[in-house]
Amino acid sequence: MFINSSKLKFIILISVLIVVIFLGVALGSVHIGLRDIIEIFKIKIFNLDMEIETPKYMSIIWQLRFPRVLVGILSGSALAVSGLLFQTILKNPIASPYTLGVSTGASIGVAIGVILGVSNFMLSVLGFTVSILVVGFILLVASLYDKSLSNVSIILIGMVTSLTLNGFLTLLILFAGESSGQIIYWQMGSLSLKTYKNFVDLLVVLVISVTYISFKHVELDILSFGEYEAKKIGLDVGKLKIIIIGVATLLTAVVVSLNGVIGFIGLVSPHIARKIFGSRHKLLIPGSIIIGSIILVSADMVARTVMQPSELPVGAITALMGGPFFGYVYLRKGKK
Amino acid sequence: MKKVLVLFLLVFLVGCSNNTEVKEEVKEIVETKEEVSSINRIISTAPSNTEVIVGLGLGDKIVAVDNFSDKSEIPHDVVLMDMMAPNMELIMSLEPDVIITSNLNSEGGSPFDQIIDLGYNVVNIETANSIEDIYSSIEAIGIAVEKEEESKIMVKNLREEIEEIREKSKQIEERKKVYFELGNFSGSLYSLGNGTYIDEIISVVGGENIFHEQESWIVVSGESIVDKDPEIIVTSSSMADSVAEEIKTREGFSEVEAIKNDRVHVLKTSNLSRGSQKVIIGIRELAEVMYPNVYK
Repeated sequence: MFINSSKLKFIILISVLIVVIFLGVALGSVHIGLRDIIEIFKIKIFNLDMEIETPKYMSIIWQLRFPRVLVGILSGSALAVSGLLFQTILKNPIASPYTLGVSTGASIGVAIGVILGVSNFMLSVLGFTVSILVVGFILLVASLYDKSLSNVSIILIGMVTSLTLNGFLTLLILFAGESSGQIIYWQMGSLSLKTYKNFVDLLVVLVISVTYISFKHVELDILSFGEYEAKKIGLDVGKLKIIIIGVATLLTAVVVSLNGVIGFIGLVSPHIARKIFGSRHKLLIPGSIIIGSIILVSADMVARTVMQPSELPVGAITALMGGPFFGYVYLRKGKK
Repeated sequence: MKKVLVLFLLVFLVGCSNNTEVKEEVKEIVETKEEVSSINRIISTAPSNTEVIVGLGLGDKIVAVDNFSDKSEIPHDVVLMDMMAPNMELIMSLEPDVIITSNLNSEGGSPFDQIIDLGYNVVNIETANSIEDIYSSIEAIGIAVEKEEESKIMVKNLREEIEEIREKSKQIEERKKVYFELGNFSGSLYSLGNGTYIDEIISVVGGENIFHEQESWIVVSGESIVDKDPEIIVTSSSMADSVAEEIKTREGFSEVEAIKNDRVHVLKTSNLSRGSQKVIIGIRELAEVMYPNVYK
């Protein structure tokens, strides 16, 4: 690559994101002309007292499509940052936001909610709560079993817990009887019917978390060189690990409880960011955020347009696109 | 219970008459009644089939059903089974005379293949995709459980009732556009197109399914619903009030005709979702909520 300045790289990435957002708003399962869309945005942004020819387009663009794109941007960002943090903290390139069972935990919460017959909002609350409890449990057991909180212990206990809970989840799906479809649908992930309120909630969590993480970028850099080095410098590795895992879990839990399980973004985005920006977290954090948004917004665009007016689960699209792409990125690295 | 009553009556009759001839006749009736059917132990693996079997008066002969079937009309305790992974040993120990399965259970190699190979009497009923399919399923079950006559009568009655509604629907001048929501699974809106009997039923009662040009069961986008602007929204759920409220307050739906005119209806029964003779209860309910003036 000829471009070496990271500033220029950011400008390019942000331009790509803007194009993707533009396309995300312009394309959907209902075809609406560009002129109408621009008109709608003019009316809304400048608060004009005007009517457009087809009022229902106003609802479609302003209340269904735009908030969905906005929630997509933030959800993609949150998953990507969360994935980056997990990969750095666990020093494991195949770690993702779901390594410690956040998705399994959320699925169990949702499954219980479905069996009890609660509202969609309460499903999110239950999903969030159980996923946080699961990660809390894993960290607690790991710290009791291994005072130094080594990565192997965390990952192993995480895996064992996830596997056990998956068995439990299977039973819950069985007990759910006819409602089991609801749990399975939820697990596939969807950005459908998201609102501005969802956007604001996500924004608050994301801004607080990312601001906090940004102050820790040097520590994260040091940690990525190795725990031994980090300890030698005098870093309290155990404490840092727990805090960072806490933040990463919070980010993922919020996204998953809102949208269901959307895979691969948390795994792939940090790798792409590393390819572009190297290994410094000062650049990796914003880089992952932009890349995660680009991937999720475009995947959702595909999900809602390829089979219109029918919709595909966005989780399936991210996996379909993300899997081969990840293989390509990773194998190419191996060839070097 | 019925049998006991019949026997009691017969004995009573016999007691009244001292004629030995009558006695013989009664004895014969009782004996033939006992031998009338070789089907005494039935396993049913789908809710719709169970309803038909019960409707044919064989609820007392059912020995096992799937987890989703309605057990309230079976007069005794039955074995419950997960029919996606049926327990072969349990099935054999129940010594069924016939196993009525549904193609719901046979996605890619039926779990009942083993049982069929062992020579058990397995009758598979395809899931109904049209009203005609419901009729033929009922008749097929009738043959399988040796209640052919009864099943034909059941189909005849059902057909008459449905045709009566179709006839009434001709009074409707303006067919209303209907969005039928099977469920909102955390934002994924589940509906149906043609090739489903619910789509056909919507048209029988005088409506027009907005996703008729789509095929089978589908997940639809909120955008396409707003675009198609249904005049009536129908869904079915046990939590009627909260579901109706959720749809009415759904972001972006405020301009939809059905919402503006407060025409969101929640069906109270789940009969529409089962292809048995009881579908008529669901059809009537749908007809009444859609066109109260015509059907009530």
